[in-house]
Amino acid sequence: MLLAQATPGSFDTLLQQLGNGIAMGSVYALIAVGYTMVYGVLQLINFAHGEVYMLGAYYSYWPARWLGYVPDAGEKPSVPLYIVGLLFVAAMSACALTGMLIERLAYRPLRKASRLAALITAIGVSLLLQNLAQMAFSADPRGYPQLVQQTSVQLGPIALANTKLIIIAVAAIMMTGLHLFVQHTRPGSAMRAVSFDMRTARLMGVNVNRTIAMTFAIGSIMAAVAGMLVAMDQPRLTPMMGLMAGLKAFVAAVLGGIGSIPGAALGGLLLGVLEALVGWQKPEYTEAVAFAVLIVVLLVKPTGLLGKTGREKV
Amino acid sequence: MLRTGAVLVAGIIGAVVLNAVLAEFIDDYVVRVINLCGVAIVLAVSLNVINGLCGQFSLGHAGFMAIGAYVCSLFTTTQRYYDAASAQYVSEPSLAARMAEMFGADLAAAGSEQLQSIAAWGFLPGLIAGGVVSALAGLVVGIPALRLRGDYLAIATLGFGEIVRVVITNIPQIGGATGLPGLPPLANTSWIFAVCVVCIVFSVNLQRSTFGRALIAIRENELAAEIMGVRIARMKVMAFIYGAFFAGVAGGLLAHLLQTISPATFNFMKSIEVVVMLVLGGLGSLTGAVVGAIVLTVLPEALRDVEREVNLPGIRMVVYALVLILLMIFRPQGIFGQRELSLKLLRRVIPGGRK
Amino acid sequence: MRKALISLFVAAGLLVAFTAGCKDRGNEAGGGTTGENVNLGLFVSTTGAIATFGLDTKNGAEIAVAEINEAGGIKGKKINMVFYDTESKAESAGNAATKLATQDKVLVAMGAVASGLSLAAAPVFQANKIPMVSPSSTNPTVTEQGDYIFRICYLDDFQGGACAVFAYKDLGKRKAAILANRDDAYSTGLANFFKSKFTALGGQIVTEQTYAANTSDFNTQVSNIKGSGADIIFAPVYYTDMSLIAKQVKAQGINVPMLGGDGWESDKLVPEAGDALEGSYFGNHYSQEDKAENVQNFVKKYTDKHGKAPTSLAALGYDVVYFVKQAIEQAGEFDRAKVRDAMAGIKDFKGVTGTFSIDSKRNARKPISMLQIKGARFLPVRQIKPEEVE
Repeated sequence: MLLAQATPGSFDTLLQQLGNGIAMGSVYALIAVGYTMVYGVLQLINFAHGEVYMLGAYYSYWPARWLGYVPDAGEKPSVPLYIVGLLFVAAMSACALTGMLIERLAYRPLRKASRLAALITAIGVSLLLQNLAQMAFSADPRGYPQLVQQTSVQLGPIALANTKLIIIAVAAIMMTGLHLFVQHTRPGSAMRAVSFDMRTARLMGVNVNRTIAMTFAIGSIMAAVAGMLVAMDQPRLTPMMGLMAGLKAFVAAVLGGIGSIPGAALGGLLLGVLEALVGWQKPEYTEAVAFAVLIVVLLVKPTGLLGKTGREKV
Repeated sequence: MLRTGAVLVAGIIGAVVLNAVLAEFIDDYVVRVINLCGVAIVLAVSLNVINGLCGQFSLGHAGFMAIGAYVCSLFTTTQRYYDAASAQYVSEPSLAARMAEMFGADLAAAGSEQLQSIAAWGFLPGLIAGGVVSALAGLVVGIPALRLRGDYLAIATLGFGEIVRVVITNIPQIGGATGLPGLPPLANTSWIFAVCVVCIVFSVNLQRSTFGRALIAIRENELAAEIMGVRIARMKVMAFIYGAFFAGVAGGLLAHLLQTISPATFNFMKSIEVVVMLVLGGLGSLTGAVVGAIVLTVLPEALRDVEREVNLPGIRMVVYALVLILLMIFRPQGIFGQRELSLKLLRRVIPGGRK
Repeated sequence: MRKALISLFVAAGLLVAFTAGCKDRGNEAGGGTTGENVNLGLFVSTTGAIATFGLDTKNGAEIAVAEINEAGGIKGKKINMVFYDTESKAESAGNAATKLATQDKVLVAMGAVASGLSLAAAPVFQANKIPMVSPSSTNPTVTEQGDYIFRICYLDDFQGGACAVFAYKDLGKRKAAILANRDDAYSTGLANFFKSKFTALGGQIVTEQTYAANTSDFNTQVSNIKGSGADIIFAPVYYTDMSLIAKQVKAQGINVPMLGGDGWESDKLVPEAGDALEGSYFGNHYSQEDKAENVQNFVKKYTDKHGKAPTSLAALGYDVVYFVKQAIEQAGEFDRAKVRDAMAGIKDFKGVTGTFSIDSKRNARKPISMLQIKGARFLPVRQIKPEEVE
């Protein structure tokens, strides 16, 4: 059906759309990791995760502005590399703190409460952060410092912004690093233990509270990186930017199999590519498709592509 | 049965009287807020059947409302939209007008007052049709919901609501993003509170019926309920159909109260608002749903003046979110829990009351 | 059953508690002024999805009110501006309108920005016979809601049509691509009217792309446009999206001019888009380059107060207050019906957003200035008059 409509040159467009999709999907993957890890340990959809992503972008914006890299008018100066590094560190640590704070204040008191209470709290935290951000930063969209001079890179028929290539590369490195961390280090095993069975993990001497805090911190760090990368590529910050990105990343996490880090990566990429392909033919239904995919996956394979089959506890 | 009928009739007469009283003595703004309370009550009470009684957490109420609102408006309102291909405005008469035409009315000769009364006649069929179409959507959502539980169900129903919104946005014949302007102001206090009474009376009866008890059994322990012979699948789907029907009717009422609808009115924040009403009152408590609906409709309006005094635009939503979080942490069962507000409870709470 | 009745009683009780002290009817005819003040209402969204546009409008209106009050007010009475946030929601807009009409009893109401919200407010003001002037709701249906509803901006059909005329006749383009925000009535409206005019002139729409609100990655749509062979891209969107779109268009190596409407106007557009919009065009109410005294005065005051140059929404917010002032002065008294009549007859109102007259459909009839982006400046190319499009 799709190919029947093909016209000369549309094969190039298809390749281009695949490129676009992979770049979008990399961002989804970075955010999805946060959802998947938190769901893995707490069985909680951390609705506020999209807002952490939004804050990541703002946390790097303010120091940059303070240092004079976001002037009120005129050309933006380019930012030296060590400052870019510092901004990343600043945003990542601030987001890690935010994530841990959310967990400590809002979620920990509810750990024994019903999952619905936790879900509603998560929605509340999301609303709170969104509206606090709107009050503190104003609803006015803000530009972003020029961390990298944006140029167009030609890869055969595909033209992508260099910032997109950076997104793909950084996302790949971060996801691999995280996977290795979880699989091959002691804190990583602790996380897996808590996610497998919290009570047994505690009996085996794992500090559950600290492990959960760490899970939130790591997820938030990934979101901060995603926030900054996206801001570099699409330099416009608004307090609402986390809403849709968060929802879609959640869809990606479910698609890949919630609880699985490689699953989040796969789910993110698949969702990104799928959206690009739908957008190629029917751009007006991109959003609907993301949700339709979610529903279908939940119905057909609720554990997602790479998720483990859960046990029914009676 | 007889008693239910009597209460229904009394309630509907009461709604009509209330309308007359309010219109005469109370200023329009307050009447409007009262009307919005009525719509919110229908929404919250209907969602209570799905979320509270049956324990199926749905975040798709806005989708059902949207369906009801658009279907109802087809009955009462001339659909007028711009067709970019022919560069012309196209007018489609309302279904009420078409029906009148079938019975031999001459629309071309009819004055604007006659047209208005024709539209008014379309309102009740419109509300019912909106409810029915929405209930069908409830069926469509309810069946897949059988396989899902907890937060997965929540997110899937949220997805359903968003899909409805996107689809409506992409249909230019019903206004696309602009929506439908100029709906007749048919939803007055009589209509809204009559629906309110019907919805509450039905829901009370439902709670006490075998059906209601079955729903509660499912909420408390699905496995045990199944062993006891509750037909889980059927009950869950019925709960969705029931909730969706009244959400659709409420959508139709809201549309004719606002006099304009657009997809943006029915985004997922709307669903969340209704859920918060329920949670505030106490998930599973009918009176709780009523109180939650009233509080959360009146509060933002009451805070308008406060916000202006303190000059902190946006503080309303921050307070709203904080209250929600604190409520969940300190009183996750809501104000009433699963109890109902009754005279007995009041007597116990009020000191010096008769024991 | 008793519980049902009780819950109804509780509901009624709560409502009565809320209504206590609210009942104050009467003197409807004499509303609009209290003592030395004339009450004007303003309702725009300062929170929610479209808050940024409401804030601009409010900032602009506040400057006008301060100026007028400093200069002695309207016919000796100071303006008391009653403001309510409409939260980017239709319910809230309707509630705010009803409160302005029945409790604050304003003489004239100003708002809203988005057409969807104006459509929720218009029936209320029409029923209460209070003139309502929208600064920036461009959808044609808004003023069709009644004879008390006015606006001082262009309509979508004129602006979209003017852009089509400009693209076809002045720029000589024949193959246009459209990129619009499908969740936004302004954007889809302009896109539709551009489409019909451009095809009527003999041009071809090679592709129509839409995106959802809050999108920031437009690459999917841009790639489709690239494959379509368009020689101009019509993007009737707000500047907040436009700077991103322009960069992404450029990053995919598309080198055709872009064209837009008054939503582009902002001093943030060029700094954010870099050189990606160099040579592109948009239609606007006025040019900040305009040497007219009132424009320069407004731009300076606004920049001093808010640290940024005004957008067209801010300018419309400023103009709407002066427009109301002129209507009241022409009416000669603080009477809603007379103010309405005066409004309907306003000719050659000299505002910051250009000189305009109110036509028989209570819409502003004013020319559109097509501007070209050169460096950080918006240079006027030519004006298109309403007659050219009709």
